Amino acid sequence: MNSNTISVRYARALFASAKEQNVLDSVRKDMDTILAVSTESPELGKLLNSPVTKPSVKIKALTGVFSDSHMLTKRFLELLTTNKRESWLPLIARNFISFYKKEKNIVSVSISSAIPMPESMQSQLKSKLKADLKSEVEMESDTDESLIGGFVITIENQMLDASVKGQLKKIRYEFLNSKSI
Amino acid sequence: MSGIKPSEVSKILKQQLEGIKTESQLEEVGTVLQVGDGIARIYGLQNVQANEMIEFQNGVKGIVLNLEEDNVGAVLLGPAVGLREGDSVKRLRKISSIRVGKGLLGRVINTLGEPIDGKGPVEGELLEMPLERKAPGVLYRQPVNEPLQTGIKAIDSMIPIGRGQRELIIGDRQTGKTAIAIDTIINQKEAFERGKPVYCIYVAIGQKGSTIANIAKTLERYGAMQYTIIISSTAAEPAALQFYAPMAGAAIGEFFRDTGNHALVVYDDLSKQAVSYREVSLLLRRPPGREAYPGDIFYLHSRLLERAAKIIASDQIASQMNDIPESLKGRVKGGGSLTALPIIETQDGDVSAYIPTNVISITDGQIFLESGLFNSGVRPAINVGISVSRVGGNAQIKAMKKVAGTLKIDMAQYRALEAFSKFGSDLDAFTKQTLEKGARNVELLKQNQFAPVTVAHQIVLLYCGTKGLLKDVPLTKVVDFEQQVIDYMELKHKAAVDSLSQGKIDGEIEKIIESIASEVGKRFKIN
Repeated sequence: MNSNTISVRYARALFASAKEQNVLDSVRKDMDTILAVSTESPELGKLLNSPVTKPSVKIKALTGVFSDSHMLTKRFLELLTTNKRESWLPLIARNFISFYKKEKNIVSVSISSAIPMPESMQSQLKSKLKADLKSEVEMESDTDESLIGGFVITIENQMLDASVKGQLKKIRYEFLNSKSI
Repeated sequence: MSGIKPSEVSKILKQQLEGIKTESQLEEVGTVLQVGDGIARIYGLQNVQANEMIEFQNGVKGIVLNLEEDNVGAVLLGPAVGLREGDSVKRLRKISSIRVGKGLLGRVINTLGEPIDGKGPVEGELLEMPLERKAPGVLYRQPVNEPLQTGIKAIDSMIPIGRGQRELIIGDRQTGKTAIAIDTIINQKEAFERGKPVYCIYVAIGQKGSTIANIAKTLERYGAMQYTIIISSTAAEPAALQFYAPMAGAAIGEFFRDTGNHALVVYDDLSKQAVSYREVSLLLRRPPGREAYPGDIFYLHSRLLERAAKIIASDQIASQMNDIPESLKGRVKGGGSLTALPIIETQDGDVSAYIPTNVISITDGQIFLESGLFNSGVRPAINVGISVSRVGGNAQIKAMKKVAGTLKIDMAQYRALEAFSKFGSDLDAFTKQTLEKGARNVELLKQNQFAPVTVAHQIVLLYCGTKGLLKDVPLTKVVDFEQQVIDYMELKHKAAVDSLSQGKIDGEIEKIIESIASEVGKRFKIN
């Protein structure tokens, strides 16, 4: 119920203070790391959610894991743990990143294709998107062989599925829903 | 299928393949943050609307219920198998709805409108009807003025139900609640054969699959399936499908109601729907209230039952009705109705629990069933004293109104005297007479399951009862008396029966009934 408000409030506070101190970029980098670590290792989630681990131990662990972080991030982690809100950390990181993107007018684009996309094509696409969207573009790309051919591009919340896999799925759906067969 | 050549199949397939659009379109997506217990929390989907359908990566659909500051809460309409954190979720850009048409008649479907009776896809034109829809406004309604004959003597005479009414059937387990609803559905066969059907929708919520199969078989046996649709959400289905099932029933009912037809929807039962709604609400972390039900449980039931209505007769006014779905525009006709028979199961006769009191206050009356009566052989086990119908009286046909007018008071007097007479043995003649007449009326109102009685026959029998024409008939012979009177009437006085079914009664018909009753009564007289 109040989980959402908590994460938004903490993220907003962190964002405001990072902006004041002019360290938005480095805090953003920290948040990226936190988000990446928390999705990759479930152990972190377990630690954060554990009610039996003492806050002091948690602080030690967190500052240990994210030792390269900015001073502000470290202090934030400490505050979060003493306020017993550490389990919201991944959501806070997510919200912080979205605030950051809004502030800097950045749009994140991810593209996955069946075969690796050539560097030149990527930069071409990036500059095209930059002009069309009138904003900075952060691009990620990966290869997914299960797509068979074509690509899937995701721009923020919009997704364009131009893959063979997606087309096959559509054909399957149409056949399953047709009455004559 | 065997008659089709493979080459033809290929041709059809080719044609269809050519018709499929494979161009890609921009879709709005979000990411799954958390899945579990039939609930998903999703990040992204900023523009999603409440009650919109969404589709997960593994093809399972969901309905958005909670819109929060940074995430969206949705219920899954299928198994969560294969769903993981980080999976993408797609907006389907349509409000949760069900595809409805006359092709559904005779079918057993699930909450999503998919047939589950193995009889192939639903045929005919299907229209998209939203599951949640605002009830028609005051302007588009009309008071209840047509009767809905249940074929049950005790109900049609004393607790009459009108088309467009909401009448609650309430009682403990094993008191015959479902039986009343099923009898009512079976009794609509006559109207169907006359070409003025009352389409029936039976919504089974959280019941056993075997029970639903039994009901379908019973309806089939009595020829009632041809105008009936069964919506089944068994106890094994996700809670979301269970609490949406009545809304699917209402949506189908609205299709008939708004196209100028009559429909009857049975919600069996709303206590289980409330329980599944509570489950979903608690999982979505909505604050619990009394008996841990969410605060909007009353609104859930009131808006569902408010959709039962009698629509104004004028086509012109009806076509301007509020919130008509896009698919139904241009087809709306006036004069239709949707009658609702919600069922509530009480625990040990406790009507003051939360859900029973709520639904009692929403509906236009209740039929109260008691296990005590049921066990003493009074079936249907209706407690006439506390059962009421607030609007149905206006819908009763004239002849029935005239004959049954005093029946309820007679029964009340009988019950008062019966309790009193247990203390003393010496009774005056008048009291004795009242007691004897009452006992015979109780016998007269008993009725077997799946044996609905037509209005005309009901009027004949109740006339005999209220006028005390059974005084010579021993209690154990009342059933035989009934049968013989009816047979006699049908055989010798068909015209009188026809006129009674039109609602007309006069001195002549009364005389006919009296003479038959005394003649038949003589056969049972013990000297």
